Amino acid sequence: MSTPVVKIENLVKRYKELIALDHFSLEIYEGEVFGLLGPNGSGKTTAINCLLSLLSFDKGSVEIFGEEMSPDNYKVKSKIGVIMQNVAVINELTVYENIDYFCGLYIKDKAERKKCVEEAVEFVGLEDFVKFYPKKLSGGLLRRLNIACGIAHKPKLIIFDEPTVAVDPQSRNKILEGIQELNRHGATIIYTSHYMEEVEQICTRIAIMDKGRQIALGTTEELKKQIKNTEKITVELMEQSAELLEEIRALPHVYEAEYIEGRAEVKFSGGKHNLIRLLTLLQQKDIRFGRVYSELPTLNDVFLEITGKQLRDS
Amino acid sequence: MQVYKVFMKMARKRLVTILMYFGIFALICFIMTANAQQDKDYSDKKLKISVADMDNTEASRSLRDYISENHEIVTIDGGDGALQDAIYYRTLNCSLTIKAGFGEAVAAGEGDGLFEMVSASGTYESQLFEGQLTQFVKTAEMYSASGMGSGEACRAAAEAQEQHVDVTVENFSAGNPGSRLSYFTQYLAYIFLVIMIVCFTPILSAFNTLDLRRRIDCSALPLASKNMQLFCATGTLTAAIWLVFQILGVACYGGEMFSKTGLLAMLNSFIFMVVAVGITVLIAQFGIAGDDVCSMIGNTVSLGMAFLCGVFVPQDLLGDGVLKAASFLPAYWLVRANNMLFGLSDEGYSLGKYLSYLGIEALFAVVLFAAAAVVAKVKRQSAE
Repeated sequence: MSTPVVKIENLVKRYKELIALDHFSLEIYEGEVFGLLGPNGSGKTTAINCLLSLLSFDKGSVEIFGEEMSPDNYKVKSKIGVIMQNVAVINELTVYENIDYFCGLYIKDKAERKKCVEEAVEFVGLEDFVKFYPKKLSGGLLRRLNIACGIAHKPKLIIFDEPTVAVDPQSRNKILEGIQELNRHGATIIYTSHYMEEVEQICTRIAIMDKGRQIALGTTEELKKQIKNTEKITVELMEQSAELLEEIRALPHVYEAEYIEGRAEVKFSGGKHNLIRLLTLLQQKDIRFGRVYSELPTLNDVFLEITGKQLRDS
Repeated sequence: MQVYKVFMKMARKRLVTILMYFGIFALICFIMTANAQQDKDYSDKKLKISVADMDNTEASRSLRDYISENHEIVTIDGGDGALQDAIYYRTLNCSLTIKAGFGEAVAAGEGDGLFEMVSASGTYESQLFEGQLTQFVKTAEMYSASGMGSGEACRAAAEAQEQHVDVTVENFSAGNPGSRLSYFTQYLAYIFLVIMIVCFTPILSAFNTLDLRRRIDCSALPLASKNMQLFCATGTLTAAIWLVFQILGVACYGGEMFSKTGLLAMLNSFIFMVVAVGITVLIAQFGIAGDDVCSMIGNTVSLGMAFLCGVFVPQDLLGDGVLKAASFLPAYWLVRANNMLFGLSDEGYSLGKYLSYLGIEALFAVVLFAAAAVVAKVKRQSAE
């Protein structure tokens, strides 16, 4: 692999007694759409803020484009685009003026800036709203404006911190397509989100964080291989009994089986022909059944299995 | 200059508010100027008086002529009831009846009980007229005692009363141009505070919100440049607003603004403007969002300070406790310096005192900016 665009080594960030980042390390390469996942409070946003030098850290190092990142490394900052989790725009400026303002923080030349702003407006599809003030925009349009403000100066590294929160499916789709297009145009993307299907859809590599540490890293397929669950079969049963459940649990490769709302959910770890084996058992026992589903694990399963199911905000 | 330009754009959106305050202030100034010019010349007060002469002698006619020279004699038809109504509704100041035997009484030097007078009780007009009558009778008695007949004595008394001394009021506050300027410079304390807080707190607050600040901090714009642009934009607008109000002062009070007193008052108002910026910057550090909230804070702070410190009510009328508390507020020192400059207090003017008052105002500004810097730092640290 080439030189990493982002290289984080042994980052430690403490808030008094709380360790927000615990020797966190990461390498992101050019052209990647890198997904950063983790439950609430896992340290994602802290990691991003340290990466951008918005937060100081206690130990470790951050390199971007081969240079050490610091609050006054404006050369590196000029190559980065940031789309914050909260929409950060100026309410007194129109859509066009907002994009022009944020673009102007990077590009001084007026003509060049005008071109960039117009391209950004077109990219996010806000052509009909350029004279609108942010307060007049819907949630989805505001998110798109937020993105336009972050990408107008054509950065080489773009950080999206949960850009699709509270956005309708159409706007979400437009945003995700946009991110993929930016990547096709050569931008390296760092993407954080709670929506697993989004990450699965657009990210080429994913890191899962918990308690300030990186606990899993790889492509979606690689991550799926790291978990126990390889197949989940759901069967609608006409009759349920404890003995039947015990016999299902005794089948090869079954590691979890339970009744949920009139269905049997059976999880397998590896093995082949699991569905045939399960259906054969039901026929032998003369158990009538309805619909049958077989699902491969999703990123959500990976995430829940790796980080656990307990609530994090409580 | 992105931050500078955007600051200006945001300020332009508040131009209507600024113009509204300016317009009201200008209107008050023009009204004050116009009223004060009307009061500039002194003239005797002419009363409306009805006279019933029951004596009808040469002496009583001389008195009647004297009254008509100095006041307006009006005739009220309809008897006593109509007279009382006219006095009640102030269309008549006084009703005078010269009793029969007036001439003889003057000749005899018996000046008491010569008249019946009806007027609204306690008015200064009735007291003025009574004084004039007493003066007239005493003078006439004097001439009579020297051997004149009562008619001749009354004529001589009337002539003597006609001698006037020209009066020009120089030290009456409403008629003194310097005094009007003092109100103008005093009210600037209120108007500067309200404009700065209402119009500029939301702009500075916007740049202080965590999201926007972080968004700018991770851009290619150096922090020093951002701060310098914010400083320049605030400075430009502050200077512009101060200048516009000084131009208004020149328009209303002309060359008086360029007198020594006027120039010192201008400097006083400029230092206070810096204090107003300090207060605005400090409030903005608390990240107050929304024009309505800023408007409420602006009006509370400006009106509160104006009333406590003697901007609207003269400091002489405020209690010692209030003045003591007010001395911890910057507007108090502006008013005190202003009062001294325009001779509105017991304090005689001295340059040393004037400079010390300005120094205290400047100290307030320094403390406010320092407090703003501390709050900003604490907020930044707590955000981490």
